[in-house]
Parts: sequence; C-alpha cells; structure tokens
Amino acid sequence: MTEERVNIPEPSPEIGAGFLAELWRGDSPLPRIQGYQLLLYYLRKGLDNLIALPMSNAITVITMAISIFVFAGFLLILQNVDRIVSGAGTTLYVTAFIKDDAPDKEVMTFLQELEKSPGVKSARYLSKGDALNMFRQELGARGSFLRGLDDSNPLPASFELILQPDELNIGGTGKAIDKLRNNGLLEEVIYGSEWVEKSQSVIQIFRYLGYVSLFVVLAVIIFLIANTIKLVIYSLRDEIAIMQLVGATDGFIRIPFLLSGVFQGLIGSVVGLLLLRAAFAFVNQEVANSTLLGAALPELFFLSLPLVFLIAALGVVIGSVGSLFALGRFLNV
Amino acid sequence: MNAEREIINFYHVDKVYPPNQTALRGIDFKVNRGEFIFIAGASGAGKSTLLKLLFAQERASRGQVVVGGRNLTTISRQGIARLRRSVGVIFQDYKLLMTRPVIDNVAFTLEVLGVRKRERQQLAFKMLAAVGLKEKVNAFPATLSGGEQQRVAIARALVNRPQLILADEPTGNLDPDMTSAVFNLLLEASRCGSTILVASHNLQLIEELNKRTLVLDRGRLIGDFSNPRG
Repeated sequence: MTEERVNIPEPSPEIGAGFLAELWRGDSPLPRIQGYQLLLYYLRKGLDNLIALPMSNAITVITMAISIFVFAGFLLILQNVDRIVSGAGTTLYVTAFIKDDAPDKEVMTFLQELEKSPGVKSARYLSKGDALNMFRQELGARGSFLRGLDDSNPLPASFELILQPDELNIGGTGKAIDKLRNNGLLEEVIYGSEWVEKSQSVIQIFRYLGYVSLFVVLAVIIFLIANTIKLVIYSLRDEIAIMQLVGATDGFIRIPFLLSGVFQGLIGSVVGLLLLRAAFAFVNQEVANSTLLGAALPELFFLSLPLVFLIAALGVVIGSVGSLFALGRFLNV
Repeated sequence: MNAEREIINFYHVDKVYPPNQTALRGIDFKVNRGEFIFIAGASGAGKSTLLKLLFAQERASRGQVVVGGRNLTTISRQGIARLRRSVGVIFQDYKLLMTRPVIDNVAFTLEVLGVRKRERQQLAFKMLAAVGLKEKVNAFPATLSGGEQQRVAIARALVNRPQLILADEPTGNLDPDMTSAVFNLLLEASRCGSTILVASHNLQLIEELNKRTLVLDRGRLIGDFSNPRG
C-alpha cells in the first residue's frame, strides 16, 4: 500500500470535498518507528498496560510478592535447616582399636595409608601408653589407682580418625570405614554408626520433602499468577479484539503484555525478597537476643546473592510466561 | 491482466454457522479496483457475513474468497494481519476503544502500522476534522452520540488510505446532512483509487447514488445491477 505523506492540509470546511484527495496525495511514506525507538515504544506500551488498570495490576504484583516471599522463605528455611542438620551429622569421628600383637611397622604403614585416603580428614595414632595417659588425665585426682598398670597396660593402641562430611552414606559403607573393617591389624572399629545413619536418613528425607514442597509451591504460584494476569487481560479483551481487526500482528499485541508481565514479575520479586530480608533480619535479631535459642542454634544465613538473582529471574519468567498463557485464548479473533 | 484489475473474487462461496445455519450459499462475483458497490438486502440476508468474509473475520465454509490476490481460505494469521492493514472497516457496532479518547481511536490504525506518534496524531486530527469532530478529539467515545461514534469509526477506517473500504450500514445513525457528507467522503475515496463495498438497506440512497449493487436474499445473490436506476 502506498503511504500517505506527512504534510497534510487543513480540511476543507465542506466535509469530504476534496479533502481525502489532498490527504492521500503524494508518495513519501510516513515516518515509522524503528530500531531502539521500537523497543522504547514497546516498553512504554508495557508500562501503559500497568497504568491503565492500576488496581488489577497492583493485585498481580502483590500476589507475586507474596508468592515469592513464600517460595524464597521456604527455600531459606530449607537451606538453614539443612545446614544445621548436616553440620551436626557429618563430623564423623572413628576410633579403630589395634590388636596387641600387630607389628609396629605395619601399623605405621597403615597409618600413612589412612592419612592419604581421600575420605579421611585427619588420622592420628594413639599408642597403648598414650591411651593410658589420656585415661589417667580424664580421671584426674582419682587416676592414682592406675599406677600399677604401667607394666601391664590393658588398654589397646588405636587410630583416631575424622572423616570428610560426605564420606559416610546412609548404609554406613564409606570407603574409609570399609578399609578399616577389612584390615587384619584391627580389633574393632567404633563410629557410632546407628546415630550417623539415622541423622543421614533424616537429612535425606528432609531434602526430598523440601524438593517436593518447592515444586508444589512453585506450581501453585504459577497457577495463581496466571489467573491474576488472566483477569487483567480479560478486562482488555475488547481492545485486543479491535487491535486484531485493524491489522495488529500477534507479536505487536503480545510484546507489550509480555513486558508488562516482566515488570510485574520484577517488581513482585524485588518486593517479596525485600520483605523476606526484613523478616530474616528480625528473626535473626530475636534468635541472637534469646539466651536459649542463641546458644542452641548456629548462625543463620540469608540466601546467597546468586540465588537471590535466580529467584528474581524466576519471578520475571513466571510473570512473562503467565502473561503469554493468559493472552493466548484472547488472540483467536 | 484481469487478475491485476480484480481486487475481490468470490468463487461458489457458502457460509454455514454452527450448528446448521446457512448465511450465504453459492455466492459468485468479482469486483475491480476502484469500484463503488452497494450490497443490498433485508436484515438477515447475509450482507454483514459477506463483509466479514472479506477481511477474514469469518472463513468460508465452502468455495474460495480471494482479496487483493490473497486466498482467504488458506491465509495464515500473519497474512490476515497484513490484509487487515490494507482494509478499512466501518463496523455496524463501531467497535471503538471506550477507554481511549477519540483521537487515539483514529490514530490506532496508524499505530498498528508503526507510524510515529506525532504524524499519526496529526493525521488523526485532520481525519476527525473531515468528519466534523474537530471539537471532540479529546472526548471519550462513551460521551458521544451514536452518530458521532459512527463518524469516529468512519475516520478510523479511512485514515490509512486503505485499498479496500468495507462499510456495514455506515450511515444508520446519521442525519441526512451527515449521511451526505459521509458518502461524499466514500465517493472521494473511490475516486482516489480505493474500492468501496457498502452494505445498506437504504434503497433511496442506493438509487440516488446509482452505483453497482449486489442484492442478497436469504443468503443467495439474486441480482448484480451495474446501474440500479437504469
């Protein structure tokens, strides 16, 4: 279609008389929005959509903020509980008692082997004498009755090991433990397996529950947001239909709504995360002020910066995807 | 050669609305570029459906509708958008954006074409002045009378120099003076090269203007008069 020119004459006082001929004459095309101006145009339209229905959009942003608060809050609790439980359960001390008749040379070689073992954080050898001295120290003033035992010490020599946090799995079959169990120099290996196994199981179950809950929370959020955005778009359905009837492409209609969704997601996420940060600071302060909780709980940590950005990005994605889903059914005119 | 002159081609077109309501049956006609055509018939004859087929608001149930070389039976969504940008439609129910001022309603067609704001506002203003609404540019449609709303719809349909103008009872709510002014505009658009199809049951007006007239009766094309008065 030939474009009309820009300079238009004033219309004739007599309606329709020669006006169109003058208006439509000429070949120079009308100036079009191009390049970065097009981006600015879409951004402005996206903001216009938000401003056009302030109440509906405020509800969407508030829903988004609450959803992100709940989601990120859940993640924060999960992260800290995981840290507390894992921290308590993964410092693994192992004591391996050495047979009395084990040759010293072989014992020392095995110690070196243990020290190099990847699952072992530290290993030390306690001779029979060291064991007796330690026992004596533990008894303090009452240790004098052990005097007679110097020549016939009944306490065995041992290895004391600290394992890496992830060395022991649920079955208690870590490589370092296997190595000790299978060694002929040793009489007995003690590592509190029952407690370790239980705590590991609890951590694992808690993690699985956490992942499932996160998934459910996320699904509920997407459903809520999509429905809230759908209400906003529903109120604009006539406008969308008319846009299509005068030749607007799907993209032309979608992009501003997509950007509105991005804005809603971004604002909602930032508000939700700021609220969570404030709530976290409050709880942390309360814990620090409480004698009981302060002593029982280790330091609590807020979400890491990359995770905060990831959650904000998630809000943006939910907002924009929600917009596109909600818009879909109104585009079939 | 003929294909270049022709802008509309209906081949054995039927339109059946679900479940089984036949709106048009066996429609055949051609329209050349720049023609001014009336579509006459009583209410329910199929006039509005025929117009809707021409800008792909409805699809033919059988047969083929070709507009400006585009087969609307197989046209894509993108193709429909392109087609509609070259067609100005004056809807019977106006279809105005009630939340936007009058000038934005008219400028909207140019906005869809990507025309810059300043130019589209200028053009929209001139067009509104041409239909006698210079004083109402900032009013909202809800505050206008039916006739004024109809004129806004006319201004919107004409503002981007469409190749094809489809008007469904465009003067139904206008007084005789304004009716005459609007038809002057449409005739002028025709003289400028646009093809005009006007659905109307105003036989007096049809006779007065003496243009080619297609007569519909209960979905059938029962007459194609190139000179109704003669």
